[in-house]
Amino acid sequence: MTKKELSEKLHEIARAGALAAARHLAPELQPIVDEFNAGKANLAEVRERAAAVFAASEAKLDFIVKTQRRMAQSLGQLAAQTPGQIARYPAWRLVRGGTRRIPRDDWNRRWIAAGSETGWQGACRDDYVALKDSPIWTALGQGAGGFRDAIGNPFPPFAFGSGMTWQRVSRAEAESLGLIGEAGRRVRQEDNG
Amino acid sequence: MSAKKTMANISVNISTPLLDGIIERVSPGARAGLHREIAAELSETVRDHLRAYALSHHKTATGLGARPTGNLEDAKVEATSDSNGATVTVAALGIRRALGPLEIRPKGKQALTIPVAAIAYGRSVAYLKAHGIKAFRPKGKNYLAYKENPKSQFSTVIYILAKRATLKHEPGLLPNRDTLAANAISAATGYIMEGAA
Repeated sequence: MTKKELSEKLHEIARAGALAAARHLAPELQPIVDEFNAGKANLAEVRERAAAVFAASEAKLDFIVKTQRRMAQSLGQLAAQTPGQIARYPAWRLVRGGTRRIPRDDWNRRWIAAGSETGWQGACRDDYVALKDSPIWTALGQGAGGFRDAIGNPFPPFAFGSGMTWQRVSRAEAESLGLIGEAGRRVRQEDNG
Repeated sequence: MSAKKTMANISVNISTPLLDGIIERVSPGARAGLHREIAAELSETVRDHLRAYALSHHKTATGLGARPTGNLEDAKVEATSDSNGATVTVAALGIRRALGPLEIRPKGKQALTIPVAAIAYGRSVAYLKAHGIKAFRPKGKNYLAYKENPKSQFSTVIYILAKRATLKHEPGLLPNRDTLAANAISAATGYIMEGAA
């Protein structure tokens, strides 16, 4: 990803976040405003009900901001990748990076669906490890297998509210997993089953 | 390497006779590339460390039966470099505890509010108020409480009030100097070897 593409992606995320916030807030406020305009509610009632809406919306906004912040962190991580980093750590492992009250228990199904959709190119079947340029990350982010909570990005967080993130995998481990050969050539393609 | 919120600086010396000799002989342009490689390595080292630390250290939240705040999960790790050196900046609440005990005092308020109940953990008094939970200070007491049922005579203590508090030194919050130095040397050596190949 070039710096220009990264910049465009960041703007796209900011726009999407603003639209999401507006979609969350505006519909809930509209009925209160309509009642006031129709003379069915006085200003004190409007204030009280609007305060309740904003209290609920605060959590939603917090959620949106946190998601955007985590996406920005991943973009920053990608932007900081150097040829040396990619050579020494050619793969990512999908791991838990944050605790959740109720962690998703469907990551195995998500991984299998994304791997199947991309022919397991540069990805392990029996471990959540794939080369940094494997298409499995895009498929995972796009909700392969019909997961509608996917965010659409080829980097963490792959789903809303997810605590799963990347851990780098060394060249030696990537070799032992059969993702790359000793000469650095990627070996795991569609033909691995 | 520096850590913000509050901010601190950690200097990591990766000097070795071999490395110094090579660095002296490379051009400023190559030196910038070398420093970029070191910055990238150290930022990834810090990310890996913070993630592992965050997952294994939330005794306070667990003890209160609360959800961890996720402050470390949201830590911002940024790498910058030029021909003069490499800097990794870590911004996370309380990250300076990595360097020593951290004394905190109230800013623009009379007292610190130290949560002692799950409902208050990671939340401000204003946040609770916005969600219909009104904390009050009983006369002569140094805590805030709330009543689940307004008519009840019983209240629950949710915050202790304090003029200051000292967060204990947590040296394990960031990777130690030896790890940082070893990884930096490994990145620099790799960069130089790739250039020589």
